[in-house]
Parts: sequence; structure tokens; C-alpha cells
Amino acid sequence: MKRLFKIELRKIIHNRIFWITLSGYILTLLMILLGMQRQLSKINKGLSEGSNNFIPLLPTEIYSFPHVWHNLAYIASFLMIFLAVVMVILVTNEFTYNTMRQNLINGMSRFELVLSKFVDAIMLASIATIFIFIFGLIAGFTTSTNLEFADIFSKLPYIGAYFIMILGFLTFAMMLAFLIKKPALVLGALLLYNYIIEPLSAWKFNESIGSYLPLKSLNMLVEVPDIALFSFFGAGPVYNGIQFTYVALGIFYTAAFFGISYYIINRKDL
Amino acid sequence: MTTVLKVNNLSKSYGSLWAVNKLSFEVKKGSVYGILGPNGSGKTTTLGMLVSAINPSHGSFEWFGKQASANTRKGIGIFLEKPNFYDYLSAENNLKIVADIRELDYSLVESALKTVSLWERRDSKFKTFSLGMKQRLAIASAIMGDPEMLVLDEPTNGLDPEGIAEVRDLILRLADEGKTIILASHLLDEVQKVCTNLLVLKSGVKIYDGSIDDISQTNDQIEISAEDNQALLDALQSYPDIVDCKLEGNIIIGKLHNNSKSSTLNTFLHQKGIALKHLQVRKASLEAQVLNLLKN
Repeated sequence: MKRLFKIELRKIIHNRIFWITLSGYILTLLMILLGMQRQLSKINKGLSEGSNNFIPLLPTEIYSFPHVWHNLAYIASFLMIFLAVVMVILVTNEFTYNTMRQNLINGMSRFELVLSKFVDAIMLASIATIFIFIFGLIAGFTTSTNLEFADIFSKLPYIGAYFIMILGFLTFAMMLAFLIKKPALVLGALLLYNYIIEPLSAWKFNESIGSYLPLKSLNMLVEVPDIALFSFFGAGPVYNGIQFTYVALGIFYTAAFFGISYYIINRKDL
Repeated sequence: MTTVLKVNNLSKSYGSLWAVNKLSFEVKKGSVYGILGPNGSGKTTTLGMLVSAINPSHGSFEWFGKQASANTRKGIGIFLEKPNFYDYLSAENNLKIVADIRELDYSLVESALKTVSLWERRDSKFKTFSLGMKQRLAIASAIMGDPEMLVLDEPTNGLDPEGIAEVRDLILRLADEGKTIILASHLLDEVQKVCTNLLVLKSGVKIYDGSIDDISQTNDQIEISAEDNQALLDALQSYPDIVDCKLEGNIIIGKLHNNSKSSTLNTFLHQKGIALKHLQVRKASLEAQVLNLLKN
């Protein structure tokens, strides 16, 4: 495993497209997170000017402990697709350069070929998670008035749920890339499935399996936060916590995507 | 001699086409085993299966008496078809990845690059290399760590004459060191100069497998003539090691086989009371032999 990390790290460190896409993701996320706070204050101000008595209709302190963890995880989850693009590039590169075949010939097993790409997924998910963790700490300490230890970290498990969600989504992207190989086609399939096929199926089977579909159940790991802001925009039912079912499902789906990837690579002539 | 590779009824089909059909052969330690055949005869498919990149439809093979695994591949220097490296990485970083995969020490990267005269260009990205340099880097990657066994598929493809000579010398040097080498090529000349054994494929089927001396000798051509060619021709009919005799002009041309010596023939004819005025054995070129094999 350490050997695979070393190999993947060497490929990634010198990969310019990787860094460009990843910085694109971080910068966009940063702009959204920083812009949101200001925007909310503005809306609140406008609303309170319209009425005589000042009642803040929206919470401006979305970054206060402990809610910051949940809110950040939720907001950041909308940009997961950026990370999936990076993932797709990392896998399809191996087909473009024919290095999938070469690495196998040089002495990697087919299982290691898949595992080395899963290592990429772990690295990406870790970077994304560490980023919102640091952002959460900074934002939390600058906006919170209540700095009791229990309050600060009571919702920290959302960061863990966020990690599982991203890892699952990236493993899904990895599986598609192993299956389709051509970067543009993989991205097309990913977007199609993520934004059309699954939402439609989830809606159609709303009563039954709708919320247990792969990407839907990954998204259910970090549900709409139970604060006025998001329910204000007409979000659905709200649970105040992470449901164990979805943690289990998230891990199950990640393992399944990995298993299917291995199955594909094991049967394929490289 | 130890058997390094044993191939048993190996087959690969693509739909109804058999790219490789029931192929069996053995490679002994220390031999230079040439695989020859026209384009599309199944050379690369065969090697692809032997290095586990292609899954066989039927049959099996063993490396060093064991079933092939990722670990056996680490001990074999393999160059297949074309150089595959990460475009955006330098030569040195590419070989470090290979070293990591094969679990070799990084110190071997330097000597491998020096062997193929690419050490000065170690920091250049792979994509800036010429075809010949890419090819040399792939050879460096194969010989890194001094493996006992090498599998080379068209290693001189895309090289200029000087490069071809260099690679050929390198293969000869490695063979002298006692390494076992499997070399696939469609260039007969290349094979003839370096190989001890030969496997000829045609449409995925084995049509010859044996030592390279055997193939050159089975069909040695003999030119012979005497004052009375008719009597000579009659005498030759009773000589067992010569076939296909026919009179062409004033010379009889036949085929001498089974390592038969021309001196034995001369003694035989002398006893029959025929004095020869011309006797010449022509080693047929490998090219002619192989073309002949492929024709039948």
C-alpha cells in the first residue's frame, strides 16, 4: 500500500492538469463560502428594513459552532463533481498513455492497478475533507460566541460523513472511468447519471428504493441542515443527525464500486 | 538445461478469428529465442498473453516452473510493442515509477539511463523525446535491475540504422552474459544475427520450432556436376541424404539434408566411379527458408 502511495504521489505531484483542476475546485468553494456570509447579511438587512420590528429571518451565523461542520459539508457537497473530474482524469490518463498495460507488465497485479486508483480517491477525498475542516475551524472560531469544547465539536461527525460521501462518489467515477476509458465519454456518463438518471429514478421510486440508490444515499449522508436558511429554500424532510443506515450504505456502495472496477479490469485485455 | 518458460496449447480468439491457435513451446535457460512471423501472425498477442496483459482463451503457461503472477513479472525485463510512459514526467521520474513497481532500488535508474545514453536527458519530459529516445528509454526500463530473463517485442522498431546496431549489440551482450531472451520480430536479419532458437508463426499457428542451425541446414542447396551428368543423376537417386535433384543446364541442383556433409557425398560418388568437376554447398539464407516455410 505504501508503495502504491509513493507511485501515485509521484504521478500527481508533477501533473499540471491535476493541480489546475484541484485549485479550481478550492477557489470556487472558497468564493462560495466567503460570499455566502456576506450575501446572507445583505438579505437580512433588506428584510428587516421592510418591517418595523427587526427580526432576522435568516441566520447569518451559518459558520458558528457546532453547525458549521454540517453546513460546510452540505455546501461543499455541491462541488463534488469537480473532484470527480480530477478522478476521471487520473484514471483515463492511464489508458491514454497505455500505462495501465505497462504497469501491469512491469509487475503490478490487476488488483493493485485498481487499488492504486482507489489510493488516488482516498488522497482526493482527504484533501477535500482537510480543506473544509481547516476552513471550519477558522470560520468557527471567528464567528462563534460560544466556545465550549462540547459545542465546538458536537457536529464534527459530519466531516467524517462528508469524507465517506466524497470517497464513494469518487469511487463511482473511478468505476465509470475503468468501464468507459475515454475521458469525455466518462464525464458525459457521469453528468448524465448524476444529474438526470438518478434524480429521475429517485423521484419515480420515491416511495420505495428512491433514497437508497447509490448517489442518492451518498448524498443522504449529509442531509439538508436543520436551519432556517435551507428549509427556507423549500428543502425536504430534516433529520438532525447522521443516519447509520446511510453510513453503512455509503461504505457498502464504495466497496461495490471497487469490486465492479476490479471485475472489469480483471476480465479486460490490456 | 532448465526450462524457463513452458507454453501449453495457448490460444486466443477474437470472435471467430483465432489470433493464436494451440501454441506450445518451451524456452530453455540461456537461449535466445526468436519469434518470427509476418504482421498479424500472432507474435504480439502471444507475448501479450505471456506477460498477462491479455487473458488467454485456452491453454496455460508457466514461468520458472510456476504459474505466472505479478511477482514473476517483476523479475522479467519486458518491452512490448511501443514505449509507454507518462508524457508529462521526466525520464528519471518515469524510471523511478518502474523501479517502485518492480521494487528495485532507485540507484539502478542511473545505470539504466547511462546504458542507453539518456543520462544527460534525464530531466527532460518524455513527450519531448524523439521516437528513438523513447524506444531507448523503454529498453532501459526493461534491462533495469539486470533481470535474468528478457522479453522484447520489435525492440528496433523506429530506430535509425545506428540505433538498430546498438540494440542488436546490446542483445548480443546480454545473451553472452547468459541471459534468456525472447525476441519477437518481423525482421529476419535481426533474428538471424542474434537468436539460437526460432519459432515461426503464421496466422497464429506454429509452423517451425527448433534451433536456428537446424533450419539453416535442413534445406542446404547443393550444386553438383560431372562429365556425364546423366550417370551422376542416376547415382544420386540411390543416395539417401539428397532430394529434389534436377538438371539445370550443366549443373544438377538438389537439396542436402540431415546435416549431411558434402565430403560424404563426394566419397560415395567416387566409389561409384564418378569424378566430380563441380561441388558446392549453398547455405540457404534464413530469409529464403522462412519464406519457404510460410508459403507452404
